[in-house]
Amino acid sequence: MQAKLKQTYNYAFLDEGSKKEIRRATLKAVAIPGYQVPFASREMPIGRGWGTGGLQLTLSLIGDHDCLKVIDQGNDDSVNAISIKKLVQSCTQVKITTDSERATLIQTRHRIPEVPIRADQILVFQVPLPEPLRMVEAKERKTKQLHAEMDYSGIWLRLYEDIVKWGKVSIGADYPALAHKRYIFAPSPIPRYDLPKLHQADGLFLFGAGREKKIYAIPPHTDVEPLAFEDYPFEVEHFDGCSCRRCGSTDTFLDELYDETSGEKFYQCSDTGNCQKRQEMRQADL
Amino acid sequence: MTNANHFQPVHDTRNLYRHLLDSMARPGKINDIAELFHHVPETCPCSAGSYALAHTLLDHQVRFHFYSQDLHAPDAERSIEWTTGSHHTTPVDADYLFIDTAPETDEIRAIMQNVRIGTLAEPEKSATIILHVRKLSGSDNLDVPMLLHGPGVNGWHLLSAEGMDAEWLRMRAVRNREYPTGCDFILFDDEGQIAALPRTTLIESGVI
Repeated sequence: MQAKLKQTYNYAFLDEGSKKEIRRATLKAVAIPGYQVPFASREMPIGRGWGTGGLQLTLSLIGDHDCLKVIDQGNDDSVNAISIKKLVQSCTQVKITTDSERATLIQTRHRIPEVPIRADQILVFQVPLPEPLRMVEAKERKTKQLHAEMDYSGIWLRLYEDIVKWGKVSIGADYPALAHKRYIFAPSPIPRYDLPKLHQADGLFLFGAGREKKIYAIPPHTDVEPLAFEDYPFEVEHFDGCSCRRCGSTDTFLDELYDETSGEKFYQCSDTGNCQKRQEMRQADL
Repeated sequence: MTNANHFQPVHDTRNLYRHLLDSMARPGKINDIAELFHHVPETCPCSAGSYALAHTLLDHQVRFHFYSQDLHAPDAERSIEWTTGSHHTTPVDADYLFIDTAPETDEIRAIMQNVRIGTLAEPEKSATIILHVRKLSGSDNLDVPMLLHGPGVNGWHLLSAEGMDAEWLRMRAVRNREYPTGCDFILFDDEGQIAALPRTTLIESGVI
């Protein structure tokens, strides 16, 4: 009988050459806020479109002293978040947490944690579509040229048409914004509620698009202005009169859910880690 | 197998990268990597900073230029080529320029006039200049004081350097005139401190 072959991987899964390439692209991305730096994007053991860009950034950063949190739509326990955590854990010795304040590195899909990111933390976004101009121009070579010339009339026209047709801008998540008064960038499908958190923040935000092979960044204390008109200002989602049915909070981003049997509507915190902490605090108060 | 006094290609490069990323995201912030400098072999023919940064950033996909007035400069070039797989080239073609000893003012001008600054469509195809200075400080007590503004800086930030020709800043301002094209600087000193000046940083300096 043949001996069972033991498969071993490099630390943090990626080979050192791939990590170097990702790191070089990341440093350039930080130096040019909002600009999409192309990178090679390796094959990962998860499918493209399932967070490979974010995962590659995480693996290029992570070391044994890090504490990792992975969230999917604010949720620590979704299948995707759990799989990514297990993968990272199996090729490093990092600690895993659900508490965003304990984490040094947070990989996220479509949410920014409720507690603001500190200067010693890095938030890594999984990005499905990094090109904000794709909705007005299909060709990559042309969108690159539009960014080079800062010709953003197409996307402004798109917003204007929205107002003419619907009376408001109809973009919900992934609302385009201007970084450092130069590049329009896609903040990944975070709700509009989260977009102001990128403006003049303390933490570093890195964006990885694995399928589209792009890395971009918003450094701390950088201007991030959502696209808006003077008479149609940018608005965030609001939850007037609603509260989380688990922790009772009224000042967090809430998910609208329906009870399967009764069809009754209820609200619940999208950030489960923060919700858990609030529930524990409420228990302690009682 | 592991030797504490050996520069680890996996963990030391990662550790250095995290400090470098922090410095790049927060222009002028000094990070201490002295611990990693101790892992650089004593027989290394260049400064510990150039060695550590070369091993962190270079591989066969990028090219570098190494400038030094030291007698061992050709050895250092070859050593970096052999150990990283990257190729030595002229300043015009280099992705990373390691300035290991201070050049004359006209040499600085020649280097800076030649470095790549990328294009408006591809600003990332620009050079990064890695500058060895004698000392870095977070106040204005050294020869070249710099007041920094821009992304990554909350208001303003002070950085000063000793053993850095002010011509670098003058030429940097000339080459970085048209954002997003431009080149980025990484500074390190003999004590193992690093800081970075990405192209977005506006520098006010009394000496230029």
